[in-house]
Amino acid sequence: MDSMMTRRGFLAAGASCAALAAIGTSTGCSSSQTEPLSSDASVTYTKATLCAGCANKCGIEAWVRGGKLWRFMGAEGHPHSGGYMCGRGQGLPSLTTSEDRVTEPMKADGKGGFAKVSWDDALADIASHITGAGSKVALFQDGRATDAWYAKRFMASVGSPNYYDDSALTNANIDAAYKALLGTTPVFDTANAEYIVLLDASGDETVRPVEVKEFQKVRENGGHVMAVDPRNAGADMLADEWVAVRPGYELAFLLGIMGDIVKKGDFDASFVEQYGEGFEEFHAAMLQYSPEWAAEKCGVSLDTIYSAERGLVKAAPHCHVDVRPGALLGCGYATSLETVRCAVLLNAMLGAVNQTGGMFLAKVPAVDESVFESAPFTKVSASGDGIAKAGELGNASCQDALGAAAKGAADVALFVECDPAADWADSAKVEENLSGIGFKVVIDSVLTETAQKADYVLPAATYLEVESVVAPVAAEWSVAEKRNQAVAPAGEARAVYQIFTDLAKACGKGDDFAFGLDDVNNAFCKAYGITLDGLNDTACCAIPGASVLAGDAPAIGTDSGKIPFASDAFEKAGLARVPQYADPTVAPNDHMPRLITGAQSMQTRTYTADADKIAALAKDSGAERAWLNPQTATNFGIADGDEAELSTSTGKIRVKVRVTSLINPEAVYVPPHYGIESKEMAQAAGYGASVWDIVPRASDAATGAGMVCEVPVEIRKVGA
Amino acid sequence: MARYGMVIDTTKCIGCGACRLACQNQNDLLSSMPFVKFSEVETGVYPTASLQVVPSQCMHCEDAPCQAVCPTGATYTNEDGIVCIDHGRCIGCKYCMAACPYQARVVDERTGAVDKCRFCTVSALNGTEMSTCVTACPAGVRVFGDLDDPDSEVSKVLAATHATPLLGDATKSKIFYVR
Repeated sequence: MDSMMTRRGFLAAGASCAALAAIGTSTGCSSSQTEPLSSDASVTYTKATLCAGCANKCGIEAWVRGGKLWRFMGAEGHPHSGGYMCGRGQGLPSLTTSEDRVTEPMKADGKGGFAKVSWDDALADIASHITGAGSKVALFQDGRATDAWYAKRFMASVGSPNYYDDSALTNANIDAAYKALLGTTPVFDTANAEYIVLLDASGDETVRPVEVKEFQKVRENGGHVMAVDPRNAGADMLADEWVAVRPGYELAFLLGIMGDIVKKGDFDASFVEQYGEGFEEFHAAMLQYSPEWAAEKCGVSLDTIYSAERGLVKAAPHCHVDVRPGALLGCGYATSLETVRCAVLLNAMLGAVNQTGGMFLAKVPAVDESVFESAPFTKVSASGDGIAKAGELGNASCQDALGAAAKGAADVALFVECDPAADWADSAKVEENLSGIGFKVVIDSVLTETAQKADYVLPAATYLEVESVVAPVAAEWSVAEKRNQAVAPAGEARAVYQIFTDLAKACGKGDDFAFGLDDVNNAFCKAYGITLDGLNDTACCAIPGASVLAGDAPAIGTDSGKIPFASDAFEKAGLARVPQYADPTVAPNDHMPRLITGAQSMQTRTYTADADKIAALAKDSGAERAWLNPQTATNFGIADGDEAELSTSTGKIRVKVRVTSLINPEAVYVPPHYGIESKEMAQAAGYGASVWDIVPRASDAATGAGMVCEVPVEIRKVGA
Repeated sequence: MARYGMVIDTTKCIGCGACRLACQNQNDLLSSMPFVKFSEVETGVYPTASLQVVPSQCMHCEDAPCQAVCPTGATYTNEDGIVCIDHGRCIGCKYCMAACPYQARVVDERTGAVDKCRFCTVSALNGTEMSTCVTACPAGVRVFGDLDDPDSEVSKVLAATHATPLLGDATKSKIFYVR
């Protein structure tokens, strides 16, 4: 029955990325076995494509049997998967076959329901609203999207600068720090490190599959991983020790170490002189911080802080502080940006840049829009300011934009595979905002809570049903990747890029979209020096010349080509030129703990919650429970399994409690992907509570980050 | 003939669920049919507590309570020591589910028959591409093979780790745990 190419055969197949053959190597993913889209029950084929379970977009192979999705494995050549998938990735495919799918365009019937409508009629009506709104159109898209190039072009074509992704609620602080300090994305050489400080991994429990064995290798090699995190979860389970830092005081932990390293002269003077700038100013500022001071602030013992410092210094440069993405460092605290700055600069002062076991500065070729200004493309650009102001170091906040849109700045809003009603802070305010926007279109594969409030819902094909725009992936050898179609779209569902093409034509902007996806991808491939045929076959190909080897001079992408230990950009953003301690906004204690959140290993926002096998695993695991330390629980008379009411200035929720010693007493953890009310998401509806009901809307002035963990929580046992 | 068994190293498990979900895809199982289940064991006290995730499934016991109580002979042990179910003979009485101390059995809502881990990963031993609890695990938690073959990887790991069954000798389980 099977005539599949084995996934072990990827090296030979990867050579179909012809440009790679010229350089004699390939890190392409496994090759597809090409009998695509057959419905013959006797035929089994594989398709090399990309997962959609999180922003990592791991390379995967989808097996299709008799025209139906069957099983899945990670692609060995993808830098994030290493031949494996996580549980979320294994469970997500059931979204494609879900009975909850929206498979035809729907129009609100004015009575709280929807009626089927043809694509032509839907596009014509939506287009009339968009063209009538002029530039007062806003578009919101999930940051994991592989169609962003089309969405942005569509907005520019219709004359609106109002494109917003949801990075404010994911990794805005990390993105901003990397850009300002390194001008590129760092990747960590986990497997070869001798010492790692793993920082705030519970902010997103996602562990790239390839990382699991890399962390194991650290231990096998005699190295050490110290997890510093208010909650012990996710990658922390791969560490040698867990250090239960006070939530929001990670900054003090790092500054204490940095201060002592400066005082003792244990930094890499040669590196900072050659590749840094402003180090003298930084040096002077760091002297005010000490491990003793840090211990008082962050609640970590002096011995442990010294242990981390000694571990890093002794191992340098084969060590690093690993900045983990997600709801703590990415968008959690008022001090998250400064914390990430310290992590990056600590790695730099140890000389752990482009060194074995350190932090590598990835080479990712920049491809600008000039590639798309000649036939068959037209030059499109939208002028003017957006409806939300961008911070000096980051993008404008999607939350700010939604609020502005509701106040009249936008007459039309499009929500593309994102669900503000279920996933953004302050659910009540989001609902109010959505009500204030005159015309709303949701493009998605299920009837999300936001879709329930829309005028139109356009059915999106899922990640296993579509091709995507080619995109780069930062790695020690950066690759280009592309999603490939494994099965035909359900019903009348269309790929998002196709929907924007069709909508542009309906808006009279067809000339700006007089090209096919292959034209776009060929342009990207040409810029990267690879071939589209190769990506169609293997889903990922190494970009020639985009490798970084240990000992290479770091390609620092800042304007000066140096790492700014004292930063003009930070100063311009209203921050100190050098790292500076500030208390977080909320001072938690075990009677009024700080709310912390972070995606669980099985979930990504509410997007994954309706996949039936993931939903079943979540329910079997009691994953909806809030975490409380035993000491904190005792203060409130709460026992494991009790129901508690959590109250903040924004709202109240009721949740079951897991009493666990895996969390700092000053924190209460609530998962961010439950409490879904849309009954059309049958697998997820009614399970757990929404953390977003109790998180106030906020925006970091410099980065737009949502500061979703700056929330004190009052706790009461239900029934007490 | 072989005597197939498995070692599960819980010190490597991070509870990602890939084993359970890959198994469900590979074997075309409904979401209500997890052949793999997880128990969480918290050890230590704050601030040095840690979590151990213990995956469990059919232990393919040599003294299988499920087989002993099956009134139709639907549950049997094949020549390689794999506890199997003849779904055509299963009448859905669920005696086996009550007898299994590991709660490893589930009902297939499509047929009414009881089902459980089939040690399907045996097919991967000869190089067949499989997406199973063994082959899909990113942490290398499981090692599978012939317990009677001293040169098999599973025998070597078992000897090196002194892994033990969850319930000691109670059912003569062929799944051994490193904890």
